[in-house]
Amino acid sequence: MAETLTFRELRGERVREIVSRSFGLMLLLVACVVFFSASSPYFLTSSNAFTLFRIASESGLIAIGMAVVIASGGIDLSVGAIFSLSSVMVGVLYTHGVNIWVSVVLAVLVGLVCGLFNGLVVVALRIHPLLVTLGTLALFRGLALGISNGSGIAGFPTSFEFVGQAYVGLVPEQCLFWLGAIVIAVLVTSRTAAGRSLVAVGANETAARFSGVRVPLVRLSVYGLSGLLSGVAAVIYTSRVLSSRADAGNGLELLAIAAVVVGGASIQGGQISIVRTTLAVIAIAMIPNGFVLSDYSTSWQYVAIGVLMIVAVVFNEGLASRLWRLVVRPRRGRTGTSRN
Amino acid sequence: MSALATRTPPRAEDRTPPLLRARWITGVDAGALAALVVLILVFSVTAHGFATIDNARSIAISIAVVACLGLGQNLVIMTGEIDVSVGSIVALAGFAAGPVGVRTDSLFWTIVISLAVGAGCGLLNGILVAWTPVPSIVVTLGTLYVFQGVALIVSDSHNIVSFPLHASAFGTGFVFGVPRALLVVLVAFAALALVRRHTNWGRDLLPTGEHRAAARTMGVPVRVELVGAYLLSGLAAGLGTVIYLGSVGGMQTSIVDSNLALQVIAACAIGGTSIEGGRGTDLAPLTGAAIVGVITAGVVIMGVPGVWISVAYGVCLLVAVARDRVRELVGARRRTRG
Amino acid sequence: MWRTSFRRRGTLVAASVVATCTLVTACSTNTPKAAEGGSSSGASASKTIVLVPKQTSDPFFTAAESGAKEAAKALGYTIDYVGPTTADAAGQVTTLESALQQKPAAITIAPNDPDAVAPVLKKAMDQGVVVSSFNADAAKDARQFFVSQASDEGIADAIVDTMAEQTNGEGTFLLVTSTATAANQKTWLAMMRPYIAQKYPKMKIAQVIPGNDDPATVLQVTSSYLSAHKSDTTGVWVIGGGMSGAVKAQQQLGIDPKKMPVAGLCIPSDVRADVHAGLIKNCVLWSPADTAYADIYAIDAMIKGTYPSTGTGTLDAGKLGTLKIKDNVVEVGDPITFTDANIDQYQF
Repeated sequence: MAETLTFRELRGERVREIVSRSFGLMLLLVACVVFFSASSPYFLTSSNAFTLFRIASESGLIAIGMAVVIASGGIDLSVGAIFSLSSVMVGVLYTHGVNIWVSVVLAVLVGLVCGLFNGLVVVALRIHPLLVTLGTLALFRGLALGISNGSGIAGFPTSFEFVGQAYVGLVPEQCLFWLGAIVIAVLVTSRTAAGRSLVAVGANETAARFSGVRVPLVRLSVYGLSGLLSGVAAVIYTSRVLSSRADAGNGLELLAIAAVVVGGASIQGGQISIVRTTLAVIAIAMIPNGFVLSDYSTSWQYVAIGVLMIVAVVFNEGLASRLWRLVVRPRRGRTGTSRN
Repeated sequence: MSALATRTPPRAEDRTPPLLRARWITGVDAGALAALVVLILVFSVTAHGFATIDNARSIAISIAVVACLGLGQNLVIMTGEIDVSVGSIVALAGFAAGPVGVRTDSLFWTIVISLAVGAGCGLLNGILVAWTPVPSIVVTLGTLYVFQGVALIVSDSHNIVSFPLHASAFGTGFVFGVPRALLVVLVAFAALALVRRHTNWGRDLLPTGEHRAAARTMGVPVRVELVGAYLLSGLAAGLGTVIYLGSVGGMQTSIVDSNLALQVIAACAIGGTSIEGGRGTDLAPLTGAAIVGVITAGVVIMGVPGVWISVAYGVCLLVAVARDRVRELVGARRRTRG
Repeated sequence: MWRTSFRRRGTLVAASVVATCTLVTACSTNTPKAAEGGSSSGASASKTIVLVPKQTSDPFFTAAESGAKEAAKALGYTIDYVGPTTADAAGQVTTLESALQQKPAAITIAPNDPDAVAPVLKKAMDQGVVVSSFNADAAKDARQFFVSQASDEGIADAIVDTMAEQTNGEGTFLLVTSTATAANQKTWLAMMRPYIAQKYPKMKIAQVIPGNDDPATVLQVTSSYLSAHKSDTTGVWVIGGGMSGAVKAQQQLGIDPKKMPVAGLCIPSDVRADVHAGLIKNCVLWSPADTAYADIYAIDAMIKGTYPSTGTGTLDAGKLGTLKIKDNVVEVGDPITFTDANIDQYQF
């Protein structure tokens, strides 16, 4: 660890850090694109790309929320369950006579409330977020199952299709929405005090508190945001498939965590890059897509995801900076010691 | 990291009267055991048919696998790390050892192969965690996918069925009325508890979790601790696989969907081991698994409609996890007020 | 100087990656787009049929795959067996969206949710791809026909009858289903209840518990239930997967399965040993291989134009003979009752 300390002391360290932490991600993206386009002529088409982005937009939104939560030093395992609960709420409310758009808004609010519940328990009872969200994972999904009585709900009005199935020219509508969310998130995290507080809390909670950052408020908000985004993603999904079910969103939480981590953020918090997280979401979404097009056995998909994840993160975390030190020798005129 | 945060003094262990500081039970366990007793009483009263020997045996068998896995996971959590790949290790060990067990009906070979696979997976986890700067949750998430994929490939989409009689020995049968699966778990518990209390390696587990840098400065071989903990977690998963194959009579490819790792982590946490590391007891996974098993069985016997079972489980998990903290907070407030 | 050169380099790397991807994508728009939005004749240039199971690693569906491949070989198609690794609807939709990119001749699917896959299946039909469902039906307007292994009533009646004959048509029963959300389960349960009320009024379903198609869960819930209700349970119905778990539960509790019959739907490989040992007298299912086999023949008929345009008629299905089609449902036959005598003929 002493070597990385020196590394960090150099001026311009932040930029170098960004590049080295993205190394694994870039490698992964390029590798996926090259491999899959070689295996199938259908992979690198604009039609496939838009299909990919369309489906990935739901995971992308959830990954933004997860990135924010992880940046604050927490974790949220219940996003998939909140997703299923919101999806079920849209269906249940609509079939009970509530206007579809009101149902949508209420479903998103349910997501927000679930997220705030997570935040409240984490902040007020100071229980580790891993355990809290493990419990709410079972609770929310159980609620979804109970409220829907285990049935799927269909029969949505055609106007509802707009959210998940409409196209603006060639571009699917939810991709524009996703892009908008990315832009807002990037602006907020990099240019506002709120964004700085977020990263401060994750990097060093005690220092943040002494700097005047309202830590409980930050914690509460990140979980609320994560829940909100899960609710929105659920609405998009429900519109895309025109069906709402309690078993939706299985496994989304692990994929979101994988995306944040492959994107180069530290799981302990203190770092955030929405753009890199988004690129990681796309890279990970390429894998099932590419496998279907190439007709490779789906069992290998798991192996591929796991290996790529570990390799990408290893490159992000350490290998790159070590290669850097070997390849790029320190130049004259920089501050800091040359202690190795 | 937990040492830097303000710790609520004094620790529960120090307040325990000497009587409870017996060999196997510590003060931290008392809370979880009390919760277990309360739950059993509540269900015995509200769920007709709960308080029977049959039910007790049924619960014991159903929690044996999670308890066994928990024994290993407990060690990993004590060092401040986590292992979410245990479910996939069980799948891989099961599909590797299962066909051999079916063909040879040999308990010996089932155990050997299962433990070998478990050890191999555990070693891989341990080496990756100890030698790369990648956090353990990320490493084991990656290996979760890898082991799962390999398990499905090895299974060749064939389930293991009709596991033969002798090879099933660890999962079936009773010795003096006690299910053999439970006995296996208790033996494993005793062995691991002895290792943890009476070997240098074992005694250094908790310090490794409490403050990694301080432990290193004190001369604790942190890497050895980590690799060892993951190795034991893998071995425990292998043993759990033998119990699973015996009690269920086979294994299905859908086991990869079962979220086994999260159940195991929940069991350790409910039982009293701190998820941040540095605090924990040997009995924790057993009490935790017992609590979860009692709740699941109680809810079924009470006749709760199937769709609401998950809610009941989630609520109980949250309450169990919150219980200690609520008691601390209430206690602290009372002290500052008085 | 240090900082700006790095920033420039870093941005350059990122920008070039993005640019390369976009360029290559844009340049590849000349790859097969010919049939996009085309008529039904456009898609038949391909000889690929995409078969989407509920879950790829489920042996039930790998048996279906082999049945489909047998028919495909005879007719000159190739089968792409792709699908989700977990039995959920979202995974199937993603698979379908991806599969659509390669313009297959036909898509056939056993949907986890009849409605979730409807939008993408409709999109496929608009592009001239033949769409059918098998084993479980999709929304009626999202597929051209459904290959039914047996009618739902037939299945429900068989489940009830096989238990009734072992318990003299009376008693109190535990019912273990598959997952809480499976659609077939609800249908069959909804048909079982009136049939029981009408034909065997002395039979009563005491409790319904999901078994998640998993013998371990079936074992756990059955053993919990039976340890509390040992004396007043007559039999255990299992209509999801994992029947062997129920038998195991009985063995653990010292209950003789011959005195408390276990019946319902089963997978031969799961229960083979129990059936031979007499622990299960009989149980019901159908042949997924035959269902998929008929499916491929029906798809071929649709592509060649020999499929009845009214939706009712007959189908020449190779080794299965002539099958009836009614309202776009291809009926493969009746459910099969497995007994000690015939179970070895079925290897899935």
